[in-house]
Formats: sequence, structure tokens, C-alpha cells
Amino acid sequence: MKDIKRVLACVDLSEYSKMTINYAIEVVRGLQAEILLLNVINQKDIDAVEGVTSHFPEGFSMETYLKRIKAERQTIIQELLKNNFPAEKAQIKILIRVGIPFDTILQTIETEQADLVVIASKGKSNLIGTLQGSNAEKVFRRSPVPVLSARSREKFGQNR
Amino acid sequence: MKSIKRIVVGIDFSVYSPKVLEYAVDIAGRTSAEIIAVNVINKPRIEDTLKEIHDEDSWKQILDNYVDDELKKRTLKMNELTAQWVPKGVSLKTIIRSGVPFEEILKVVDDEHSDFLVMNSRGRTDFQDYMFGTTAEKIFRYSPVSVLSLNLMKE
Repeated sequence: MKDIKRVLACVDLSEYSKMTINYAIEVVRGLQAEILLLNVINQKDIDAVEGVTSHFPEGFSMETYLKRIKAERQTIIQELLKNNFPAEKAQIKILIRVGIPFDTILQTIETEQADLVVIASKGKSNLIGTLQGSNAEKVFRRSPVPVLSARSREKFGQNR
Repeated sequence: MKSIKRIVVGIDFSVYSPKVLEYAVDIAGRTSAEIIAVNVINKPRIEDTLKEIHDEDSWKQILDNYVDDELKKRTLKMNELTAQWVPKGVSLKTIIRSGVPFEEILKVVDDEHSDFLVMNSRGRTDFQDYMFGTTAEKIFRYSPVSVLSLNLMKE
């Protein structure tokens, strides 16, 4: 069997992200694997911002805005790692991209040559805790590499 | 940190089964988890077919005989498969049940207090190699524990 060398863990900074990282670490335990944490800034949000900026009296720079968002997310993820996974922090790399989440995840699998994808079964757009994440489902269906859909008994049955 | 302790592996004796088992064993070996290999005899499907052909007195008997027979055959097959792919150092349990495959697999997850499930997205009934398996899809939807789907394709 081909060893797992690079795992792509998708984090949307929701309450499920810690569990997602946990599973990425667990599944490569004992291997010299690299873990890439991917966070996607949703293109829809960017489009929405672009739509209103013409009304800003002080003017607006998308470049500055994106830079700020990226820096903010970088800090949040680094805090998350520092507080929960100090021992594994060194083997984890953070990627922040802009795009349609499932599409960007699928592209990143190719560009980073990941051998495995870890994604929570639900995320930010968690509609009353009952629906599967639509991005997770699309990745699950279309990924060319194995997909680990991370979930926990305690959280899965919530609000059902 | 939560660790993986009991891995349920869905085995349908398709071309993908050895690889699915190998992948699960690799994780089990590194995390000291137990492997629970599960195969399900799709009894409802056979039942429906039999009902079409036979009257009530005979189809029930035929069905029982079929399930008994399959159970014996599959136990042997399962033993062969696991002997080949699961090394001695990994603790193993094999289970063969009859019923609706995704339901039985999820019942085993509950009964065995499993915390992890490994399967392939396609199985025996793969339609032209590109359709997603319905069993896999249902497990993905309803599993209360993490699911690792290998997404293997025929080479």
C-alpha cells in the first residue's frame, strides 16, 4: 500500500475544525506525513463585499481587505493549533485560499498532491444541525483520493 | 486528543475489498485499534425476487436455506480474506449479518461501540464504474461516527 505522505484537512473555523484536525493527526500517527490545513475564503462573500464597496465614502481596496482577512484567519488557526495540538504543530502547514469551497478543495488535492482529505461532515452552514454540509458531500463524491468524513457521536445526533 | 479504537470495515467481496481491508489495517496497526470486518447478506433483495416466483409456503423455506448457505460460504471467504490481509498483531473480529447492507453496517457500529468506519464508495453493484454506491452514500449520510471512504476505481 502507498504510504500517506500528505493529508489535506479542510477547516472552515467552525466548531468542527478541532475535531477535523484531530482526525488528520490520528490517521497519520506513526507516519512521516505532512498535514496541510486548508481554509477557503468563500468567493460568494467576496462578491457580496464587492457589491457594496461602491457605496463606501472612504473608498475600498479589495487587496487590503483580503490581506486583512487572511491574516486574521492565520492567527485564529495558529491559536487553535497552539492550544490544542502543540506537539504536532511542526508538521502542520496552513493554506488560505479564495474560491468556491468544494471546488478549491478539489483543486488543492491536485496541486498539493494530497493522498487523503479530511473534512467535517458539517461546517459553518450547519442548518439546525441536521443537514450534511453540502461542500462536504460534494468533496466526498468527487474526490480522486480517499476522504475521511470526520464526525463524532455526540455532535452528529444534535438537534435531531 | 481522541484516538481511534474500533474500526468497522465494510467488506462486500468486490474487487475493492482487499484494498479497503489493507487501508484499514494500516491505520489499525499504527493506532492500536481493533478491526471489525463486516459483510451483509442482502436478504430483502433476495426475498423480493423469490416472492415474484414462488408461493408463500415455498419462498420462506428457500430464503432460509439460501441465507444459511450464504452464511457458510461467506464465513469461509471472510476467513480467507482476513488471513491474507490482517497480520497476527492486529486484533480482528469478523461479522456476517443479513438484512439491508447500510442498516446492518450501522447497527454493527452501534453494537460494537465502533468509532470509525472504512469502506469504498463503490462496491459490487457499481454501475459503469462511475456511479456512487447507494450503500456508501447512505452510510455517509447516516453514520454517527467518522467515515473513511476510499473512492477507489477499477484500474
